[in-house]
Amino acid sequence: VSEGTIDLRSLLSRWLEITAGGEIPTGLARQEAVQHAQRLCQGILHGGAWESSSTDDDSKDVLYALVETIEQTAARDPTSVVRIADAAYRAIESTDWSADIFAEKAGLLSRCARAGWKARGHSLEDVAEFRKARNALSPFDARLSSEWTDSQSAFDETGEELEELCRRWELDGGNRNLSAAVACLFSCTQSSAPRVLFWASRIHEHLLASGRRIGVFDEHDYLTGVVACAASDAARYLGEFEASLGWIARATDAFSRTQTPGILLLKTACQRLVVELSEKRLHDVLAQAPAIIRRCDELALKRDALKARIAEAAALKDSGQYREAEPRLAEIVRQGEFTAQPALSLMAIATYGEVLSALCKYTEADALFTEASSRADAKRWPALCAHLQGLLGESHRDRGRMERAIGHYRAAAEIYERAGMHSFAAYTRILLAEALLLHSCPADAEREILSAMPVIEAKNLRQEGIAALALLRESRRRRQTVRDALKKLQEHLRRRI
Amino acid sequence: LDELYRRVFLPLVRRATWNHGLSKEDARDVVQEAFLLAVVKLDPGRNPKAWLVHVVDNLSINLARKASRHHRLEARWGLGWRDSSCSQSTAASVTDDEGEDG
Repeated sequence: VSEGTIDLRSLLSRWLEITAGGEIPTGLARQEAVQHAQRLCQGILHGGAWESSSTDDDSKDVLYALVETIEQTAARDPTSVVRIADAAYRAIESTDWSADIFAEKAGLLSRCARAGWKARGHSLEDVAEFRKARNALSPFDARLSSEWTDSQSAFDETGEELEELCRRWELDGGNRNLSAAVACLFSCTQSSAPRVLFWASRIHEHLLASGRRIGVFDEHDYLTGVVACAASDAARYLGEFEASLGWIARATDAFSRTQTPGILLLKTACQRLVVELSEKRLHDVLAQAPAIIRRCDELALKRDALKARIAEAAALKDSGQYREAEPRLAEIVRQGEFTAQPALSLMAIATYGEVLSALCKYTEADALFTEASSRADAKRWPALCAHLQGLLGESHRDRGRMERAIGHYRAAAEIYERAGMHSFAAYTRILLAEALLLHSCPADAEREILSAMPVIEAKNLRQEGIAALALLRESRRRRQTVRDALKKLQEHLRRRI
Repeated sequence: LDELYRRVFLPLVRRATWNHGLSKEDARDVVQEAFLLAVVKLDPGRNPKAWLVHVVDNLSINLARKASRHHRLEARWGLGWRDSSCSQSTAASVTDDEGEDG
């Protein structure tokens, strides 16, 4: 139909000639389809399974009749309608509706889910609003499905509780423990990134392999996407950017099958922006950010809009456009969303400080770094705290205050190590080593480089490894600062890590 | 033509039947009428899929409205209110606002 109007017109003309005055089969009669659908409904209510997933034209009529029956039943019998609607949703979803030019399958799925949610007192808009607000805690609305526990309780954020919940889930396979475990994934992404990545991978694998669907309607796909998002965040904190992007692709795949793809795909686009920033794909970030920000504003996705704005400003900063980045960050900080978005707001302050520092406004930058450090909760956001320590180190180093710089770098490296973020720890140790050499402590510098080497090798940063070894040899031979070489190594590592 | 039947004709018949409450026979007539209008009026600059859907929806709504009017009149005045010019008048009303979605 969409390939050529002229061809279509001649085709339709031929069709009309051939069918003129003749009978054209139109599939199952309305009444017959309705009767079949009613029998199916009764079967489902009495515990029967779906009979067939074939999609001949008669079956399609039965599916339409079934959805119509569900919509009509919703007002009379809301309790049974969710069961029937969910069974119909899964049956329609599993059918191979090839060459679906008029998006009939998507239309029927949407009507099933709407009817089911309506029976529970929700509209599709309610569901979208809930998913819009997804952040640290409950991945889905417990009210939508009686299977789920209400996961609004706070978690300890150390990863111990996550471990406990996941082990319980592995033992009993119950949805309540799974629900709680998924909610917990988000609360300790920063503090226990390795654990989060491990368990998110296991849960994701289970969701894909499990023959049994979880939740009702599109909740299984939604949950699969949410878990992939948690894995992506964790991989990013571990410096595994390619893996992080892979998880975002999995989240995108799952979210595109939900009834609320618009907001969910936009959220994943924001997440991708942050990973691309970490990968220093600045051109990509700057090209995509304006459209993403505009769409987030239109859909009132405040948190994601803030995230994208910070990413855009940080990309401007990293590409040396400090004058462009400064007013944007000043505006973000001025609007201050400390109560609603504390971690993102502190990130904005830190980035603003970096820009001011690059513009040689050291006093103002220091004030921002100090303010951010005092507000950052080391237990909840170790990555942010370590980042701030690193920035303070850089600020002091730039002004030749090596002793202070060394203290901050050391603190940053230790926080990264404790959080299991070894790539970032290794990177920070190289910066620390540089500061130590500049402070005439070559032996300490060598120790730091040597301690970073295993991670550089494990993460396959071979060139950096070779350069670091060469530096070490040189340093040992002369026992003096090799400033230029170290600078070169630092820049090289910054680009790679 | 077999592809046209399966991919275009039948989905549009289902649309008219299940979205607008028509019988299969009325739905078939509506789609045939939409095809006829397409041969005459379909603008190459427009999206044919959206155009066809729009025309089928309008024809179906008009037919359902007309049927409902007949039922009311029959209930009040008895038999004899059948309008044999239903299709032509429906087609005429569609041409006024067809293809708004383009």
